[in-house]
Amino acid sequence: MSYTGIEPEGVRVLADQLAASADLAEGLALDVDRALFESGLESSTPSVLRGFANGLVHTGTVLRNRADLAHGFVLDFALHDALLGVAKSVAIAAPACVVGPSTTLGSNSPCDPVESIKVYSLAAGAYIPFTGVAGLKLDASYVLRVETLHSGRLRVTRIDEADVGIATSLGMTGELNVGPLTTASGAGAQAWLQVLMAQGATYEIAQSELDEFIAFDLLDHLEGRLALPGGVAGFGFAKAVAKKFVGLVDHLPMWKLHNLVSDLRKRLNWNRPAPLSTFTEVGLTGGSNASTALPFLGQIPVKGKVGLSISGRTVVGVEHRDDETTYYLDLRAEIGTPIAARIFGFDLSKLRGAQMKIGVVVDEKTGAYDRIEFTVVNDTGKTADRHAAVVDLTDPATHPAADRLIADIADPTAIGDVLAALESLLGHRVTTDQTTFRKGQASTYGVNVLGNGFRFHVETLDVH
Amino acid sequence: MPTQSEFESAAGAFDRSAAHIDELFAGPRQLLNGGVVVGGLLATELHLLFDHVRRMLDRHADGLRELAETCRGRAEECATYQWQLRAFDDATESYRSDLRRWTSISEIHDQAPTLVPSPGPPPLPPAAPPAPPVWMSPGFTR
Repeated sequence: MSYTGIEPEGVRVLADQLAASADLAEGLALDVDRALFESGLESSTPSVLRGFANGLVHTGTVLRNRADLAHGFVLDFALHDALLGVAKSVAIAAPACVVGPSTTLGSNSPCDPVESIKVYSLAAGAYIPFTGVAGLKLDASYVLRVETLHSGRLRVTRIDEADVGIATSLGMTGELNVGPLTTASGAGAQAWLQVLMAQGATYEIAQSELDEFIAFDLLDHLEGRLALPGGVAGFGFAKAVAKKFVGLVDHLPMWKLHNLVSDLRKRLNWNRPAPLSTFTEVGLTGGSNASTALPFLGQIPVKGKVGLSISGRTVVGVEHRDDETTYYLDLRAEIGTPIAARIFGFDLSKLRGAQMKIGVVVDEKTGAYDRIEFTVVNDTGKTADRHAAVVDLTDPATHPAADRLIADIADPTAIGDVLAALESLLGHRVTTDQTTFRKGQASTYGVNVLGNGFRFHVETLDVH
Repeated sequence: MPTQSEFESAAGAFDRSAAHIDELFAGPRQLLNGGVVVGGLLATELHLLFDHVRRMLDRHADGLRELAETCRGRAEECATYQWQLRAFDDATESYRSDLRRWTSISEIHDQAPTLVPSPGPPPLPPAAPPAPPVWMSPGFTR
């Protein structure tokens, strides 16, 4: 613990001078604005000066209060916050024209912002009991996230995830989802812990290419599944067979279907562009849920479902982009009604969710640290906020803290050390972004009996 | 499109602002270096912050000086272009009067070639000045 000595009168004068500097900065911002208008030139200086003035006023006020108290103090979070505020206001750099860190809500892209997101997910799960209440739990999912950009182009991310683990299960439940309607029966509770592995890739395509992309990707996906049992790559087997088949059918005299088949053949001949990024994750997921089916008004044969589900997910991952690699730690938590549960059109499947992701970006050519990306997604059920902060690490002074961060990032239990290392890096060049999404329509189709089943879910989010 | 005098005025304003930015934080820095806050996390962070602010202000002052330089260059280019335009206007005026005189002498010569001598070849039109830089076009911003 160390103490700070304050000379109260001197600090009050310092606070006055900071306020005077803030006034001067405001005046200067006006002068520069006028000169820019006259000359038709552009500069970020006026906005930086205004942010700087606000920060100075805030710091001046806090310093004056501390001087009035005239006490030595160590960690004062209000003051600390004010200082960081000034540091950020003066260090905020113009956002670069690059795609930002990836989150469950896509990525920010300052030069071509996202206007809406549509998420398609296809999941299948199995529960194989091997004792009375315990068993093997297997899950797999395929997620396609389509971000519509301001330019009209699409940024598409496909994610494959496989989860293997153990679960304990009590009771018997069954559930059927048909769009906005869910009917269920029985009551039960389950707790599980699984090891997960996920792989994904992000592409940018034209809006008109989405159908081609989906056809190509599904075949690619099938290819992967076919290759798995033998451990041998498929060498484009599924696509080749599909192309041959469609080519053959296209020559048959089916006049009514001719356009459809030709179109399909065109789609199969489409080549997917190189990915913007690819990533691989490993980690743990776990949770518990309990639910019971309730008769609706006691009259009709269909039933609703009530219950509660809590789940968490912790992974470490590696993401490759053009010339850089990101090492990251991704933590997610969610509380809601049981997975895939909906009560007669009221979407209660997620009451509250959060994601926190910290990544260190390394330049592949030089091996040097480039930046730290810190993202938080806060899902309130009806809306979701995505916050992203990027800290520039090109200053060598930041490297010891970056070393500490990269050492701790692979250890999910060292989150405290990760945050401490991150905090020591704030104040360097920081770019921030905040986007709020409003959730739109969502529909689910699927069936689940005793923990076995499948589910197809579509959800739309618009930038608020 | 800004005029020569607007560019000159903006250049002056950018230079003055850059000079003021240099002075903007001098007082607080001097006071902090005088030791009003000593030791501990607060003093360390204030010193780090003030150093950081100084570097940022220096960078922006340099940026404003560069803008002033750009404005002065453009004012000069405006002046040169205006001068070339005026010279072209004068030359065009003189060409028109020479052409009128040549046409009338030529007509008389055609009617009475023995009385009036041939006026010789017609006068040549003046060459137009080179196209102005792209930033001079209306609506252009940078």
